[in-house]
Amino acid sequence: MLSLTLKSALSQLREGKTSAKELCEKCIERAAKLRELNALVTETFQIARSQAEHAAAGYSVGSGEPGPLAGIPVAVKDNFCTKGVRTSCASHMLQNYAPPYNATMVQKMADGGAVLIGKTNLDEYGMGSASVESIYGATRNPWKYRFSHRNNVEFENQVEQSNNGPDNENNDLYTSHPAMRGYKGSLSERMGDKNYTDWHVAGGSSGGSAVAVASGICFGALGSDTGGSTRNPASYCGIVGLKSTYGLLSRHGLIPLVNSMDVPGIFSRSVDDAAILLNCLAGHDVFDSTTVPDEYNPIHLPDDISVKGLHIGIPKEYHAPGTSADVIDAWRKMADMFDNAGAKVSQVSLPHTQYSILCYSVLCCCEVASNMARYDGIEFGLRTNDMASTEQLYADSRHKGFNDVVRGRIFAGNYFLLRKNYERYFLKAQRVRRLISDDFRTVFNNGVDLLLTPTTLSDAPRHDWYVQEDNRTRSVQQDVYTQPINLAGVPAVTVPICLSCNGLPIGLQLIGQHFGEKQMLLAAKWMEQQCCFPSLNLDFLDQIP
Amino acid sequence: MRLTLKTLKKFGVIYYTRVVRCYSSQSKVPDKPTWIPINPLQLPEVPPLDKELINHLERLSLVEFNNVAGVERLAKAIESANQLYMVNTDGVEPLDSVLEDRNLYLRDDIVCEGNCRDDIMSNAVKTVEEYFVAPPGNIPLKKKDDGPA
Amino acid sequence: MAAPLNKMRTEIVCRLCGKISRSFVHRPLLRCQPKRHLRKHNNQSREKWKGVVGLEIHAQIATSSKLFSGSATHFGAPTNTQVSFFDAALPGTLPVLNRGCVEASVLTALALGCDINRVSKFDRKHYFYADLPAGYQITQQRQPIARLGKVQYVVYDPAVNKYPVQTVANLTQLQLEQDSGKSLHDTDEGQSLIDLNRAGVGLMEIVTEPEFTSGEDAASFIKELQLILQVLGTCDGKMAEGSLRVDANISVHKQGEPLGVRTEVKNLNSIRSVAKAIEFEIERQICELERGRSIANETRSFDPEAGETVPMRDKEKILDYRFMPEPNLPPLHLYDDKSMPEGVKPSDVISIDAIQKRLPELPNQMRERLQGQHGLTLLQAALIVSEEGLVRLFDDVICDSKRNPQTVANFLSNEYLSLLNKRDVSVIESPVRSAVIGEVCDMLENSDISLKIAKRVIEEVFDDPSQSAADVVRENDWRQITDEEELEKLCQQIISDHPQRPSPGNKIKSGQPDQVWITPCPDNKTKFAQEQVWTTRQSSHKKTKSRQKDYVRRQHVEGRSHVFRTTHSSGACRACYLDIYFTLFPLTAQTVSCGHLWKEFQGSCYFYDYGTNTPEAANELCKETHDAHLVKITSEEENTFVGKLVSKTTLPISWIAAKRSESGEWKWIDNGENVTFKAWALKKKSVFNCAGIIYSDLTGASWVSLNCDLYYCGFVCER
Repeated sequence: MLSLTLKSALSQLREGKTSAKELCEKCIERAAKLRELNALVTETFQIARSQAEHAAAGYSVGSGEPGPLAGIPVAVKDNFCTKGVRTSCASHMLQNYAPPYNATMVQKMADGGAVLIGKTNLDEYGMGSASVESIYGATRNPWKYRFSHRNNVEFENQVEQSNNGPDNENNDLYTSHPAMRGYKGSLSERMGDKNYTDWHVAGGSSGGSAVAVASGICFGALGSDTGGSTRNPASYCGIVGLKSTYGLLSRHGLIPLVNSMDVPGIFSRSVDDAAILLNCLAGHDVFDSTTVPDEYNPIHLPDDISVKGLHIGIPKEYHAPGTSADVIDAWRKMADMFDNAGAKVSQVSLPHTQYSILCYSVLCCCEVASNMARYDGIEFGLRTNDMASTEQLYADSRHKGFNDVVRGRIFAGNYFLLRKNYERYFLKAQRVRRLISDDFRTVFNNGVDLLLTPTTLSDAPRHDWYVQEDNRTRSVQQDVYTQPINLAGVPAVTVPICLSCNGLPIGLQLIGQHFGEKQMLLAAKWMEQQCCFPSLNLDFLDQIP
Repeated sequence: MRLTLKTLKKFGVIYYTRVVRCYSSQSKVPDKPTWIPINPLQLPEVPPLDKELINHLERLSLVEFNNVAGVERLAKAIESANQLYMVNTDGVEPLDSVLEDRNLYLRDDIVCEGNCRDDIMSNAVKTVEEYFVAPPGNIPLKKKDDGPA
Repeated sequence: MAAPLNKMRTEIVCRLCGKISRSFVHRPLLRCQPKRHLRKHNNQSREKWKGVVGLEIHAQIATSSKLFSGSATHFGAPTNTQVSFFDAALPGTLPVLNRGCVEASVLTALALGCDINRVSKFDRKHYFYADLPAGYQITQQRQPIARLGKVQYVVYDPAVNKYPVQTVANLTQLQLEQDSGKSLHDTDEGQSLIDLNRAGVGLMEIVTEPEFTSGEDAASFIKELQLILQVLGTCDGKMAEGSLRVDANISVHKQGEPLGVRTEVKNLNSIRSVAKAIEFEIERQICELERGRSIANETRSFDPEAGETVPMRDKEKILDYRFMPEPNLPPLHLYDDKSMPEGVKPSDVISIDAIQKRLPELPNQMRERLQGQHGLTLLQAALIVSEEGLVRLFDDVICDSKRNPQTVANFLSNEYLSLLNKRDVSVIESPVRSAVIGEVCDMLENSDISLKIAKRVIEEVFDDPSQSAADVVRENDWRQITDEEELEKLCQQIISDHPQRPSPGNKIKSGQPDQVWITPCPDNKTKFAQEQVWTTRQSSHKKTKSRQKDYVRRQHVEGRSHVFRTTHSSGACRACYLDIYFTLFPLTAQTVSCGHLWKEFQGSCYFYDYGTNTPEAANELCKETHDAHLVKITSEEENTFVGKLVSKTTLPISWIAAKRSESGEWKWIDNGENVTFKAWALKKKSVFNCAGIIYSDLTGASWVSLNCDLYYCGFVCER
């Protein structure tokens, strides 16, 4: 049941073959069994149950049309504000923060009838490419994962009573985690064998959401995408990750990383599911001045798709050093498939691609320095006891609240924003950004409909390899294919294509034109139909008590 | 210094040069990486990050980063950013927002928010009556100007 | 040996230049300020140095909601109730621009003669402060909504120029920005309490070129700006409430030399403070430079009590705000009719031309019109325009009538305004209708009433707006008698009523109180004197044989009093040397022999007695003991006389025979008539229902309301 797509689950609910409550319980059970993957940082099972009841009432005869997502369990990245539910951004600064409002995306999903299973893990404040920089620990990729067979019944009892609100009393990292309540051992003991270190990263920064969808904890999830934070983990976890055009989805309630590039991302098991979620979420929001007021036409994807006449561009700069052979092979094969199906495939050039990651780094650091200025502990957030002076209190609270990555980016960002450096770095980066954006515009104006590129350099790397380098280096390496899209604001979707020779998923990215999601998703669905990717199926866990 | 692969790696430039060769006549995907190398000697130097600058930055950011690792991290970030100088941006306007050609949405002048004091203050650690609390700030001192001796 | 306090010569040090002198006089009532020396000081320094002042004015936009959020903007709301999630900088919240604020700023920019930028952008200005929750302020640094601009205004400093001077100020830019919250400093607990009600309110920042040279210059500009904003309705301009705040950047330099280091002065919350602070700072900088010291680039605050600027203790002036474009707000496009794109709904965008059409008449245009159309001088026009609502009143009064604009203008800007100031009411709040003012001006023009009576008429109408001016004059018989025959008849009547009169030349011995004087004014050009009954002052100096000279005053219509000796039947006034011929008439039937210890005044006798608890009891006592009644005060002169009488006693407060009725009106307790003349000390309505009179040197004789049964006061009997 939990390996179905969202679309199939919806039709089963509509036909009455299963009920919303049953589906919800199954997902909760799966979530409880997979705590070792560390996908969820806050479990909202009680909320899910009450929402499922409400959705079930919607399906009963005579109650009118149920919502587009009625009864579907979903998960939300922990940087979307959820009213009354802790929203921590995986940071000590917001560890006890419960927003008084729902993000627009969360509200729309709730209005559509979706059922919230929990808040998912991420890199702190979205800064990272593997979901390892979190106060709750790293998220693990379920692919090739050696699951432990512990009996999880005693933890379920604790979960029943678990408080979904802010945890004020206990700041201890391990015991405050819902997975650890009542357990007297250490986190790594709980998380299976402590010698087990060669698990693979989930990708980031929305790794938790990707793992939640891939492992059957939910049918769809929200992430955010600033430099590839949705597409990267989607590719590593073998699911569909959609980043829409900047301005289509509202960012109200999404705790920002880089305001000019952030887009809420959608995780799903199929392209159809992504379209259903997008239709529910898209549209103008009066609380966000960067959403476009244009009327949104819902996307319906037929099953029978032809790509004849479609012009696919292959940007030559998207073969970056360090790309694995598997990825290049998959890319080549898909290009050939398009060619054979009647699409026009040509090589194009986006000459400034190589510099986009540097441009992104500068702009990201500057925006981070600015966005993090509000965390002073006065109105919300971590606050120490230093009352000597304002500066001392702020510095102390921010030191304890932020990890090294965040502090490093704030520092660098302020350096770039100094009056003497503003022209040299910030304005320079903005000029390069315009060149990159113009590259896309030129290519699309020359008749290209879509661009086909790899999503990541390789399949999901191992955790012990990944942590050998610092966060900044890894981000520069891992985001090369995904972040130019954010600089230009165009939409992109990653579709899982095949397994690498290591048995891990490889995805390919389709880049569309501004507000051209329909065309892009049509081609993506076609790709999905051609590839018949073997999705992860963890239904065997249901047999284990 | 000889420009070898090792040197380039040392300076954080991990790219290597290979000219794009002919790929298979069928596939448009290039066989080899296509990025051009960046000669670190052509880049501007990282200016010295002296104590005064670090203290100034700490003051502006209100984060403590005055340790060796922190300064090194900053130096690497600057070095990386210096590679942007390889791009010619003459006559190019900076891009603030990808929505710059659209009209900014304007809200009508009506009161539709506020009156939610409890919500606003629910996450504050320290409050006094209905005020937020902060350490003392900006209080003018009554300092007499210097009179004659 | 200690010298007498009130005047002692001592060594005083000039706080500006350090000069020590014995000749400075120490006056305990004033602070130690060698004023004459200062003035001399200023004059010498000013010739060499030139002050350079630039202003940054923050005007709160008078919209219902804030600049980027939908919370309200009322002044004085309960703490933290006008705060939305965005104002508290909760993570994930985004700014949404208020259309009303944009329209207000475009309207203001057009009124100030600025060029509107078709595309303007928003920036973040970063600094940490507790009342700035986001750690940055959204402002417009790079591309503001309007640039350049010119404002014509009038500078009038009687100390400097005899006549007002019209001049022009140049503006650098006008930009939209957010206001910050308020912090209250609790020094006892060592903390600041933050109220975010004001955080996020829209501000227009108006930056001027550094072209002002003095405090008066800058203050005149601020006054003009205040008027413009009030006329437009985009800001209420109340500096005391913080709707209009001014920061001044001040430096000095010698002619021909480069500009000096500037200091910024903040906390200027009235127009007077602006003038004083700038003057003081210029003088301070001149003194410092002349003593060889340098000026620090610092922020100073103004202490209005001390009249000085003091350094602000703070982290040092933030030198780097790290401006960055605001990524959540794409650029703002403004259109005129030509550039409006097709297919765009007018409600979605702002049209500059539509706003231009809404521009009302500005103060400068009003002044030009008053001068051109009505022939007023610049000073008159400036005085009328400077008071909010007075131009409209003037226009209403002049309207289609043929009234003399000069008369109307003078009356409005002098007598009318002084009355309103005394009552602490603005022109807009005044209940006096323009028709009544018109009537009064007509009567003045026709010499039907004097200026003093005109003022009294307006006061009466103020208290009872349903009356007309003619009614008031008629009721009180205040109409001026101008007919010579009638006046002669009156004089003959009085003469015949007073048969005993000494022949001219009789000497009246000093000490004789019973004299009445009536003097027809011999000067044909002046108006006839009003009838006033005076008595001579009793001479009671028995010790000295030297004669106390008795002086009698006459009050002419112009308000001048002439002073001359009573012993002569003719003579020249000692003050103005006007020759006056008069006749002496002793009082007979109207002689009031008041008796021992009674005081006489204007035909009535007054006696002060001690102690009763209620005015009714006082009245009874007066009746039984003295065959008199408790004092009823019906004129200003009587008020002053009774006040002075009371002040010389040991219990210097007296009941008066007035009591508040149930309807709220004050009535005399003997006959129940309404009290017409009132001289309350406080304008506020009090809860007590009885009245007393007290006297002080500063405020004169005034009435206070008292609890009827609580006070043991003296009382004055009158007969």
